[in-house]
Amino acid sequence: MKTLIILLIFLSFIQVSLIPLDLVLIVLIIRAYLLPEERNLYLAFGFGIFISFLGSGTLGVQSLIYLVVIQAIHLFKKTPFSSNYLLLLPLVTGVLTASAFLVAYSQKSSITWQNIFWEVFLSFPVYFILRLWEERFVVKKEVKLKV
Amino acid sequence: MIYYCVYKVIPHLQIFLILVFLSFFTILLDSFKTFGFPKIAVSYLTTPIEYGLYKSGQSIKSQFYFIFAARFAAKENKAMQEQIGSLLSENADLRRKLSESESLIEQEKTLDPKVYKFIIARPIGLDRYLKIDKGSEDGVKLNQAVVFKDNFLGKVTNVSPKTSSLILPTDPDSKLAVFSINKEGRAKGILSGRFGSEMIMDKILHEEKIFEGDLVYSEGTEGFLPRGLILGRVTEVLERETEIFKQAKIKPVFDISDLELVFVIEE
Repeated sequence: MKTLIILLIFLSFIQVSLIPLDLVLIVLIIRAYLLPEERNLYLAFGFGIFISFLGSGTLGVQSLIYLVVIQAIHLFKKTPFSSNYLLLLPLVTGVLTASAFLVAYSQKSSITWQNIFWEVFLSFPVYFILRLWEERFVVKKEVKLKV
Repeated sequence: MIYYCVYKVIPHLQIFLILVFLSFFTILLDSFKTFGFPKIAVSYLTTPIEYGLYKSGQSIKSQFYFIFAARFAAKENKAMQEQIGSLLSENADLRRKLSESESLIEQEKTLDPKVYKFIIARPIGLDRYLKIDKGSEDGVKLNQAVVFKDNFLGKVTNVSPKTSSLILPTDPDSKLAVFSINKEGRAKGILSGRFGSEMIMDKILHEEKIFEGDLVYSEGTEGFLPRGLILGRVTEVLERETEIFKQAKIKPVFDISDLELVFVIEE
């Protein structure tokens, strides 16, 4: 968890200073998809406040958006077809587009579709990296050769 | 009962609602500038990090930009070189056209185009004969005289549909009736080529006056050649008492290989 928080803090700074993509939201979405637990909501709330602060926005707006998005992912995980990770593409696209709409509405700005495309594109490598990280302690069955 | 069902369907509903409420509460407090002081305090910590990251990003970006700029400059340089090549070629073409136009104007000043009808031709080769780019399809015929300004260049000896060859006065097979003129009088003779590089004016009577520097003109008795065209300049007079006639070495007044255009006298 500590590593994740440090990573999210680092990504928050990167997102605000260097790359104009919602990297924190991508990581939170993917984590909520992999591990639909309560802590995701705390992270969404906390980092929503932090991103709003770094971006000099109104505190709480980004948290609200993040919370809705993460809760939507949790709901999706309740559905029977959620185990198919290929459904991540339409899910992430839809969720990020909705988030971009909400951010654009709250900040009275326009949507950058190019950013949404890159965010969706980035979500797949992030999914595999996070999955590898989260499952690092999961014991896998040994491969036994049939002799 | 309904709450229980919703609670079962929506995961972590209680926490979610609390956090949503907290978010709205934060928005409300922030809109009243309640977080002014904590924000300033935290910004002392975050601003240097943001600035450092931003500057690092700019530095990396500029490094990458340099690579792209170098590649772009290389492409641009190549394109510019091609453009320069094309412009040089165009410039050379324009210079050639200008030179041709000037030659044409000079020619019209010298030999009246109302009297002489010319075929404008371009020299395309020089060995023993001078080759021009006009042939029978353009109206060139055998034995027509070719001039430049008021200088005689040669006579058409061979005609193909597209090109023609001229025999030059320096050719050993060329023989022309000529005369030279100066203040003391005039001298007549026969001009023939020697070794393909010089001309000799022969059959000059001893009593006729000819000196170095005199210009030599055509007599025009051959039929194809107008009278008074310049053939060259006397460079040396060869005079021996034991011989009946005098001789004079004649040098062309210009180098044929420098010519851009020549004019075939059609009529």
